[in-house]
Amino acid sequence: MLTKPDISLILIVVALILGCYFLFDLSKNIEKFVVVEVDGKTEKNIKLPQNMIFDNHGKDGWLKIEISGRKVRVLDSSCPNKLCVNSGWINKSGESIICLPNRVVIKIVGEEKEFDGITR
Amino acid sequence: MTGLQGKNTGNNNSRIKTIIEISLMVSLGIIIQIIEAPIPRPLPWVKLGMANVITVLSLVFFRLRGAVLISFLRIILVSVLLGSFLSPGFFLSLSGGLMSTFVMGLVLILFSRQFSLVGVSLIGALVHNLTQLGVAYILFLKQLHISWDNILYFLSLMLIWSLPTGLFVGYLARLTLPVFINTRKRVNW
Repeated sequence: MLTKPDISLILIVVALILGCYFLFDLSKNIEKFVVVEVDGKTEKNIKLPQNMIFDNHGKDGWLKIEISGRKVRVLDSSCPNKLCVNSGWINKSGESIICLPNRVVIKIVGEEKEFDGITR
Repeated sequence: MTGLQGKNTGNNNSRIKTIIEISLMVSLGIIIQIIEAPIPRPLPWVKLGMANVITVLSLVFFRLRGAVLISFLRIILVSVLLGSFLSPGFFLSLSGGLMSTFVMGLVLILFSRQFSLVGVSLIGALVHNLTQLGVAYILFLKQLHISWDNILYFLSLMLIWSLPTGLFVGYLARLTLPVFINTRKRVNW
């Protein structure tokens, strides 16, 4: 059976976990944007977080893009190989989904530092 | 159990018994860890760490010094057997394993009335993960200039996984403790 100090220890750990998540959320307040480019030209610049599903035309087709909170994916697309759909969600700045047949690039830009490119 | 100092009793037999019992604990730990190694994990750094059941039981039977010796031998031998000896992961598990054994031993000495084995094991799991994170930070992460929110993220992940694994290991230790005590009685050497 658990003793009283055991239970208080468990409660302290739970509190620490919640505290960590709270701090982590606060530290995530750096602004990020979803940029949709078609054929090299910026078509859309959407500030995150956001919840929306919209269609974007490509060079000779269309893409259905879903933004949910801080992450983005391509729901459906007119391209034959569906590589963009299979890329799944992206949520870190610097990540991108590329649909080559439609000449569409969806990328996340922001201030947040990532692991790549920080080595000296 | 007198611990490792056979010279206190002057009895060569008890020293040999201690050595045999410690070797048995080390082998049990190695077997558990090797069986656990190929089990798929949800995340690469998440591990149940069932061998820590042996560490907790060692603390009960052999006190601080014996248990530290047992986990030291187990970690070295398992890393040799699995081929990770002297790799970065080896230093992480060595530091985490020794530190958690040491702290659990201290807790058992100082607060054995307050904490049950489950609580002690939870403290061990926390210390294990925090030590690993600290050592990983000093050895690898510092050079990468990883920002604080990423460290915080790792910290919260480690805390979250320590809770169920630590409690589970402690619970297993409490379940198996009578088995170990009975076996020792039955063998009666």
